[in-house]
Amino acid sequence: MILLEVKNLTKQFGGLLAVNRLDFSINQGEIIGLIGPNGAGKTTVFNMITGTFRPTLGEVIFMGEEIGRLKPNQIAQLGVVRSFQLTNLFGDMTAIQNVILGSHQKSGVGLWGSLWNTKSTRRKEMECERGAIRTLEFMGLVEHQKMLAKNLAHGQQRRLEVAVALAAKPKVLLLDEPLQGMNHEEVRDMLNRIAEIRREGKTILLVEHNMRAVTSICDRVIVLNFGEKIDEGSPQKVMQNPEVIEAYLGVEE
Amino acid sequence: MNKRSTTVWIGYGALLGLLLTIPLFTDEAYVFHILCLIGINIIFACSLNTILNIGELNLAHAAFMGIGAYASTLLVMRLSFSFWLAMPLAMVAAAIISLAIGFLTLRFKGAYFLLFTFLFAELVRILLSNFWIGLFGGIPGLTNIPRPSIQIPWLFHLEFSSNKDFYYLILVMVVITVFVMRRMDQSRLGMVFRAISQSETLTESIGISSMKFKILGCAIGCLFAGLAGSLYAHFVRIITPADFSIHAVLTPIAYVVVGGMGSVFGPVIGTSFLMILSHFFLREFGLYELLLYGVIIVLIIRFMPEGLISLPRVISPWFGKLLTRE
Repeated sequence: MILLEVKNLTKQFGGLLAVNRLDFSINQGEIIGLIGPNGAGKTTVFNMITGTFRPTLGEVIFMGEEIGRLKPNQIAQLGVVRSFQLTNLFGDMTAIQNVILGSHQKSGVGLWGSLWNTKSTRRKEMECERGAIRTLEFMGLVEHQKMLAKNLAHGQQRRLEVAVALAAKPKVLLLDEPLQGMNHEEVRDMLNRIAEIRREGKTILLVEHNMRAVTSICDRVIVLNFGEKIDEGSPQKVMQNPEVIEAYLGVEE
Repeated sequence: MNKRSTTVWIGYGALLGLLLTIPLFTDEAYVFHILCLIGINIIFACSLNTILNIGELNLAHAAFMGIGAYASTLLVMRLSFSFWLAMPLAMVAAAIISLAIGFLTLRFKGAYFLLFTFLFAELVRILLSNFWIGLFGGIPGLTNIPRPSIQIPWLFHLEFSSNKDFYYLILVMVVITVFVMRRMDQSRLGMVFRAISQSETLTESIGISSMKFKILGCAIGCLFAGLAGSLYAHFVRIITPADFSIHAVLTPIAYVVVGGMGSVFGPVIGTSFLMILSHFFLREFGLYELLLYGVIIVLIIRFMPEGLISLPRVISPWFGKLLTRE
């Protein structure tokens, strides 16, 4: 079943064609890798799917509904949640507060109830906190729950970002270079966790530079270069494609 | 209730007790005049802090206080409403106008928002000075605003005509304001406000409409600005457009920053400290008053960038050093 589909997606910044007539679809439960050299338009695709940019042309269809013209928060409420390429957390809040905020929209904690501190709200808030602790456990951060997000190590911050996104109960999780700046150990750990998220039935779209990571966990990869799709298929097949090798490594003279 | 919060509550109780018994120590009208002004400024600083909490600086905040003041005054003097009805209506008026203004201007961020609020502040001032002079009183403003009173036939009659009586009214309003601010700060609402000020993109990406919350935050802030305005009008009994111009927001910004931005008690401490300083102590220095005032503000910001509220944290290492040296 197709969960997310982009059709003829195009973004033009002035004279620059950042993404050109891109088509792809993601099935329920898949992990798709979106790869390509720097400036290929991967993050622009992310920004269009999540509503940060409006597509110049084309459409984004999520569960049969056009979402390309919605606002970021509306898209997130439908179940398309992203992480960011550059670490983006509520730095002056603790890890657990970050995750609680992630789950706020789906938690049913009403503002008036919270303001008057009613019994039913307190119960919901407790539930919310338990949920946050489960999410932190899942991402291996439970022992750091009381630390301020800005004081966590880089690898932990990146895991916390995924935890925040997960707390928003996504149907499709979009991860923008979650492995960036990590060492080998952390990369392996993160990949295991992403595989685990997928086993829980989530669909994942991953932008990543780390080739080994992409080939090890993705079902399919889509290769972008200069805003256009140059190949799509299983990681093994794509890596054989001379055009892909050329885009990544350059041509042998 | 744990031990720490019990201590904190005892502290609040003691402070409140002290404030309630001030009239036993002194009878001077001037002291109560200043205390009332401090109270009004605390309410205003708290309301300004609400908006600073969502990460925006509202230069038109005094204009919303002005809207509250004029609304309350006109309701009482022209339509002979009771003050007790006019005050909440003035608050609602300020909040509703801020909803409209917020809807238009909060889509702009940082400097652009600042410029729009500057524009609005000037708009309100010019409107009040030059238009419908019969109603608003023009540049001289409105005078002889009555002080409120409570009258229950045959039961009791309470006039807030003296500064001392008005002081109690203001004390009650300050306590209510601080209580609401504290509840808000501890609730989900305060958490979302802080989240928006720290990363609006992340707030949006987890499904929270930052626009909705920013408008709401502004409206809550302006509600209390309206309260401060209404109290000010009926306390001072003269209001002019200049009282609520852009200049009127600058000193309260200093109060909030010196006290500690973002915390509930920061604005309370900052306002009390700076106002007591300038009205009771710096008066002695004549010409040098403002100079000293400025130096003190600069020193506080230099050594306590998080405001006076961080004083225990700033000085505790000092004490540690002294102890280890001995």
